[in-house]
Order: sequence, then structure tokens, then C-alpha cells
Amino acid sequence: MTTTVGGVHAQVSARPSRMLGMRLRALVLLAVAVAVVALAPNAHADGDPASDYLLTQQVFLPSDATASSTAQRQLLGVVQAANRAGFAIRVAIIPSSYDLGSVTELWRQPRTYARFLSLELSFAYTHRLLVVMPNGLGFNWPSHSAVPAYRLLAKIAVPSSYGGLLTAAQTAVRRLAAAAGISVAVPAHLPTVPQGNSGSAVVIVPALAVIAVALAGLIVLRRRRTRA
Amino acid sequence: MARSGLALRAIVLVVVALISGVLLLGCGASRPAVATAGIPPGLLLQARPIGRGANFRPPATGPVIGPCRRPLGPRAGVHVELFADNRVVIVPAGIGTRLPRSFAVGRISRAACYGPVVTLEPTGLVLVRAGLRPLLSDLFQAWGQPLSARRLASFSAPAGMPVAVFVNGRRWHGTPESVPLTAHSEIVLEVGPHVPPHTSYAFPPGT
Repeated sequence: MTTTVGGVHAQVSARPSRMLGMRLRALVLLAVAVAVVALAPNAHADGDPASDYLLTQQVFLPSDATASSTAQRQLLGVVQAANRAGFAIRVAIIPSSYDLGSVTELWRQPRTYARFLSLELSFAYTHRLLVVMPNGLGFNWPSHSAVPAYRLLAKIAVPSSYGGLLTAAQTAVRRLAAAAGISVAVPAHLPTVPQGNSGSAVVIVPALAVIAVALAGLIVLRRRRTRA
Repeated sequence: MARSGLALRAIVLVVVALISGVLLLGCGASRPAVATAGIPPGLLLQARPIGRGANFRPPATGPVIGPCRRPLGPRAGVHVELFADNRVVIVPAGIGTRLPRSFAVGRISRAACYGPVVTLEPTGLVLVRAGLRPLLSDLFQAWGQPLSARRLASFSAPAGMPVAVFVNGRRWHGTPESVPLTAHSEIVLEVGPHVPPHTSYAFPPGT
């Protein structure tokens, strides 16, 4: 923009700049709107039984499980004790592909399923999640690295039997809690029906970050135009 | 002036690049490593959160439709999913069962008796008494929730957008009430924005 010439000339040369600014602003606003709309539905999921249970329960057990089994009650007791001690964790025991409902393609992928399940639950639960499949353990804790947990979990053998999965899950919860400085013992009095916890809501941080950056860009645009 | 224009363009490009990156992450291409790495993009496309509030968790309040028997007896599984306003609506445990009920680890372990169409867990798995051919309307009646081309449980269809029904991934062109609860069907009901429907469900052995 020229500032040393007369009014008419200045007006003529300012118009393309204003139009450019408006176009840029429209582009940014459009991109932000698309981002917000596109992000919302992709942030979470549904289709597998464990997500429906873990909304309100601390442990997901397969459909043919009976709560009277001692090993199951021990696991329920340990998970309940860990949560009561402030070590928030939920556990999904997945002994067969039937326990994955519509997402059987994640069968024998405990690590990927742990991430997927975390996404599904992220509206209601944002803490630790442990997945136990016959071929290994999966762990996820949104916004936290899973590397330290996997270092601990790598030392735990997972027998492929159902009882083996329950034992491995119990060991995993206790070791993870111990690493966080929380000692969890098997309760003497085992629960029959576990209590679920409701977690806090999740803010879609990336979307907000993009909006913030876009708004900052708009402010800078406006300031530069004013200065010019 | 030229430098100022360049700076403006640079800012806009950075913003657009950031937004594009976030969009790609949202599509499952490369979200933060702890979030979606390795998750098939197709699964993320079918992804919806479970809705908040009572409307998204309508309780089982309907009557038992047909003879109420004990024990449960042989059953065939049907999976029913509901989406409203781009959110999951939970199909509760307890549909078609009579009080008193006992729960264990989130599912019904015992009820006074069981009707022809029941749910024992909150996953959408519907158990149909062997030999019967009930309809989706029977499930909703036992649930105590309305079902029509304009209503889906707690939700009303927007004008010009009736309740959409998919059976095994294919669009159902009859009324929602008339969908048969055929063994191992995957039935998806939607009101509001379209959600790519699941085409199948891994039914537990014995169902």
C-alpha cells in the first residue's frame, strides 16, 4: 500500500490489498469450520462390547464369564482396590474375537485395541486402560507415553488360557500401580459386583489449538492491515 | 508492503497447514502416536462417541411381550445399534425381562423370567427365543421406546430426514418397525447425520 500519494491513488492501491485480506480471512475461517466439523465425529468410536461396559464398569469380562469364579473375583478386587487407592485403571479381558463385536480386525492386537478403546471411552474416561489378549498386553493412557508401562508389562507372561489372562491382568495392575508408588494387595474380602466410576469429560485439544492459531493469525492480519 | 503481504501469506499458509494436518490426524492417518497409530482408518470412520445425557441411555421400561419363561432357553443373537445426532444411543440391559433382576459385572445374571426378545447386557446384543420371528417393533415395545419413520427412542427425525435403517450394511427400504430380528443380523438405526454402518458382528458362541 502506498502512503505518500494522494487519496485517490491510495484508495485504488488499497482495494486489492483489502480484497486479499478478506479472501485470506475467509479461507482461514472456512478451514477452521471444516476442521471443527471433521474432527468431532472422528474422535471416538463404538461397536465393541467392552466400550459399552467400561463406561460404567472397571473390568470387562467376556460374555460367557461367570462372576463367581475366584480368579475373576480376585481380579475385580485388585482393580477395585487400585482405583480406591487413587490408581485409576480399567481392564478389558479379551479371550476371543467374539469379545470384539464389530471390530474383530483388532483381534490379537492388544496394543492397537487399547488405543482404540481409549478413544471410544475418551468422552467419559481418560485414565489408564489395560487390554489383555492371549498373545499379550495392551496399555494406553491418553496424553501419556506408554513406553514405561510396556517396559513393565514385557516381563509378564500371558498364558493363553482364560485363567491365564485373568492372572496376567491382576499381575499387570499390581505392577503398574507399584511403579506409581501404590501397593495393591488382593483384598481378603472379594467383591461380587464391581462399582463403576465416571470420569471427567475430554476437551478436543487439537481442535482448540487450531482455532487458537487461526484466531491469532486473524488478529495479526488485522493489525498489519491497520498499520499499513 | 511486499514484506507485509508475504508475512500475511506465510501466516495463512501455516494456519492452513496446521488445520490440514489436524484433519489428517482426525481421519486416522497419523494422530498423536498414543492415540490412533495403527488403528485402521475404516474403523475410525465408523467412530462415534456415546452421547451424554439421559436421552442417550433410555432405560428398559416396557412390558414383557409374549410368554415370560424361566430359564432363558436357547436363543439366537441379533445386534442392534442406534445413532442419534451423530452419537451412540445405548441399548440397555434388561429389555424383555421381569423383576427382580440380578446383575454381575454389568450384565444380567438372573431375572424372574425372560420374554421372547431380551437384552442381558448394554451392548445392543438382542437375544431372540429360538423358533420365533419377531420384528424390530417388538424389541422397541419391550424396551418401552417409540420407533417409527419419525421417532427413534428419545429422538425425533428432522424434517425430510426420516429414520434410516441398515441391515447387514444395506439400506432397509421398509418401515423401521417391520425389520425382522433374523439370527445374526446387524441392524443399524440412525436419526440425524449419516454414520457408516457396521456390516457384521461377531456373535458369542451359543447365540
